[in-house]
Amino acid sequence: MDSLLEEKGKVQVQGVSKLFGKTIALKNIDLIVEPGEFLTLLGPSGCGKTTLLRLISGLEEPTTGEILINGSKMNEIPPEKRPSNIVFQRYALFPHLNVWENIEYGLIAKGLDKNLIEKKINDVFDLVDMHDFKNRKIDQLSGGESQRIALARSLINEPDVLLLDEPLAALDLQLRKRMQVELRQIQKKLKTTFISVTHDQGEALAISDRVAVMNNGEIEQLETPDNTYKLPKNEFVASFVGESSFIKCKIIEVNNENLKVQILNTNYITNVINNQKNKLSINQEVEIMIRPELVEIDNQSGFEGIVTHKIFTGPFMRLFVKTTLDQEIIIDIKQTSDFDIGDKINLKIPNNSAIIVSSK
Amino acid sequence: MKKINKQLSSIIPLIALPQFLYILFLLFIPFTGLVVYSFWTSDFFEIDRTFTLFNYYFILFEEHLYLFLIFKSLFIGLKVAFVTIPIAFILSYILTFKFEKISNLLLGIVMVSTLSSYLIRIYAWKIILGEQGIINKFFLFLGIINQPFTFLLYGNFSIIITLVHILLPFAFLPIYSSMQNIDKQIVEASRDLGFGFLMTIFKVIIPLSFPGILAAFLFCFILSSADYVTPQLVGGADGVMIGRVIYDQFGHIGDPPLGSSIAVILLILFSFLFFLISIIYKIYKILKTKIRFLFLYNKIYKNNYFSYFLSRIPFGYIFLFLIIVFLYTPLFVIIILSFSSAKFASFPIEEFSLHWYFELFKDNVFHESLVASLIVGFIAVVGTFLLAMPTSFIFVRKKFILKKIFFLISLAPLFIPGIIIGISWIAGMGILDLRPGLYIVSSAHVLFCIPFFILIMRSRLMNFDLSIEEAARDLGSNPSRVLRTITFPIILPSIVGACILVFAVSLDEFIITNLVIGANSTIPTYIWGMMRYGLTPTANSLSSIMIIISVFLVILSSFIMKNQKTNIFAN
Repeated sequence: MDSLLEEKGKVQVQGVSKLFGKTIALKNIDLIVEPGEFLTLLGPSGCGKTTLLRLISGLEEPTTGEILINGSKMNEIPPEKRPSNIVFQRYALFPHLNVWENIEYGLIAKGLDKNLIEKKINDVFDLVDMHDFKNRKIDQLSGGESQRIALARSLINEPDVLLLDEPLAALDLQLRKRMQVELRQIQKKLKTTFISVTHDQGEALAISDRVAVMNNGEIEQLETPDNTYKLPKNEFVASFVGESSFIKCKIIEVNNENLKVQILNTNYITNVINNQKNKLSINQEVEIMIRPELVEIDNQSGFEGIVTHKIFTGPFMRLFVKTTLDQEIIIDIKQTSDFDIGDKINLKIPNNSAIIVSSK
Repeated sequence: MKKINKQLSSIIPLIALPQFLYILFLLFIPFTGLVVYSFWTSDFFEIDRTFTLFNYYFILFEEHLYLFLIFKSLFIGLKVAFVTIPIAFILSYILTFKFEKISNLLLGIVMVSTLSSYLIRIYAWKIILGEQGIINKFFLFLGIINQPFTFLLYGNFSIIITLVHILLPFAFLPIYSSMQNIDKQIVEASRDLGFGFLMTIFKVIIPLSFPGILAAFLFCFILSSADYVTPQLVGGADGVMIGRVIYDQFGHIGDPPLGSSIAVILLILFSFLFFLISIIYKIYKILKTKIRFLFLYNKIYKNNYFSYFLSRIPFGYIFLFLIIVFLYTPLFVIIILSFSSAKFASFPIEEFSLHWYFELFKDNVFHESLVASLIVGFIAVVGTFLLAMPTSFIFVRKKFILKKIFFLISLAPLFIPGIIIGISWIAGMGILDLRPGLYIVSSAHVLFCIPFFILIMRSRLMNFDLSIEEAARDLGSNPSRVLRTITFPIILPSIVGACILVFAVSLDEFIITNLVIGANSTIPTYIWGMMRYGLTPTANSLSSIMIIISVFLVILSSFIMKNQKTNIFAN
């Protein structure tokens, strides 16, 4: 009994592949989503993230592999019998029903008592703060309102797992940012497992407990937002999540905690972090990645580059610097600097701020 | 057993089988009857059932009149198509790109005229073009002429203008629908990239709406070259066309086998032309990217003053005005004449009265025809709904081997001339020894209405957001509850609208009905009787009533479907 309780809200994806005709949408995916976790599937369009969500909801069946929700197998179980609910990208509100009727739809399917339905609807209206909208028609709702109603319509069924397919993609920037916070608050309050799909890396980092970065039907990295940003496993993750610059280097020292590389074509040496599984050896060529805000300017000991573009972004100035190896390094500097396009500049990669993302 | 079912349903879903078999049995098996008939001979309805090639020999080698009339009719069909298509194209263009905001209203105006009875519209042109008609009266009044023009009525001119009037809305619909799919920004991009107005039409709009243009062309060509009512009413002695000849073989001449042979030859020519056009289309598709209309490039607007002058003229408004006048004048003429108290109604009207309306309601045959029409219409609606509703779904949502062919077969009753369907039913009934009657008429109407219903429902279902159904599944409904609580209520307005249209189509159907009805009559055959034997003015009052009912039904159905996304000819 205890173990059953522990598994409530747990989603296990075991060796799942999905083919559409000859195109492979998902390749042998393994994924465990813990109860009460907010997990985001992040990736470019066509990476298979929505397919994975639809497989969990039961709207598609996997070609091979198994999906377990609450510890029990879900294969062949139709969507209406699964303990999950989904919020669709364009909300899929029933156009012929009003707001109230949309929300009670799932409860009527369950055959709940009328008084209970009313109580639950009032509760859920509290949750999403939509009390004034009960009798509205669907075509009288704005994007943000539709979004809340779609969320309420799913949440009222008290699913063990809530699936969200690009839930905020149709909203404008300001509303999107507010809804991110709200979504996270609702999830914390309900302690329901949320699995969300997005191509917006900012959103993924902002709302999730863990982020699964997907590409070409595979999960490239599954980590907390912090680690996804700071310790990307490879070039794809590094460039998809956040801004990044890549620099070719040569390893000159390998110790347990101490990994020193020399930037090619320069004498510049710095300590870097290693996130690679395979063993590294001296003189091996590697590629390191560094985030723009970590690069510093140091006219005494830095390595040389030429400013090619500069952009004012508000909080800081972003410079694009070309190295002697023709690689582009992006740096963000706070002060309104006197650098101009064409200027020579000396850059510094502080110790343990860059990370090895590929090695040959 | 289960396995066999599954195999069969990948060829054609079981739920679609009734409609498939219906069309197969009632359209293609009578064809076989027609072909069989064409190898028999007849001496005034005494049919000799021995196989012979005599009819074909007679038509091809002895009596050249028939071949002459066939080619004359095809030629008239071509003329009608070449007049109708450009008008329909311009109309579609200005509705899509110029009058975008009121396009639904204008679309309604065009469609309302389509569904007012075919027969009545021909009759109206007879009144307009005749020696006592409006045009002659007008010119006589102005003193421009002192003898009425006689060339207006009874000749190719009147046939072509009448057929253009009848077919224009039908040609307009497919072209308009295919233009609806053209992204406005594509047109703007073409202008932005330096192509002028005309070049954009040739480079962008015509290629993108080409399938619609082709469908419209086939429609006009086939239906007009095989028409038998128009030549009979407005054609006179010079305007005899092959449709009427075939009709007469089954009518007072009494040689159905000869009529069948002519029809078979006509069908062979149609299929040959169809084949030819599909080859041209394929070649066009290959060459499309290579053809350059360089010769047109920006030459038209070289003269700045000229172009400024042109841009001042509101061509769109003028054109639209003329089209609406063209479509509606005949209908108004009938309605106005129906209030004349004179026995031979003509302009100017001397005394207005409701006299002929009262006369009409006194007529027993009118009452019988009305009841017959209502019964037939009701059966047509129910039958069409039961057969075509499931197929509309499977055309949108299922994949199966015969899909393309089945779809073409389902639309075939629209593209096959009514006279051919009618006489093949006569032949089939003759072979099976069936008596004509209302049950035959009803089943013919179901056959004819299926394509209308499918086109409307299919386009509605194609615009149906499937994630709405998925949401309902996800919220705990099994598939049958999803159908009951979600899908059906959402598409219900379209179903009702389609049923009303089917009823209107059935109420006005004349071509096939007239051939298979036998001794009974429906409203259109009743009108036909009045028009042919002693033109009584009650024809005007009944026609007016029919026009108003049709207009009402079309407005009603479009009102019901107002918020439903339908685009009938969308691929």
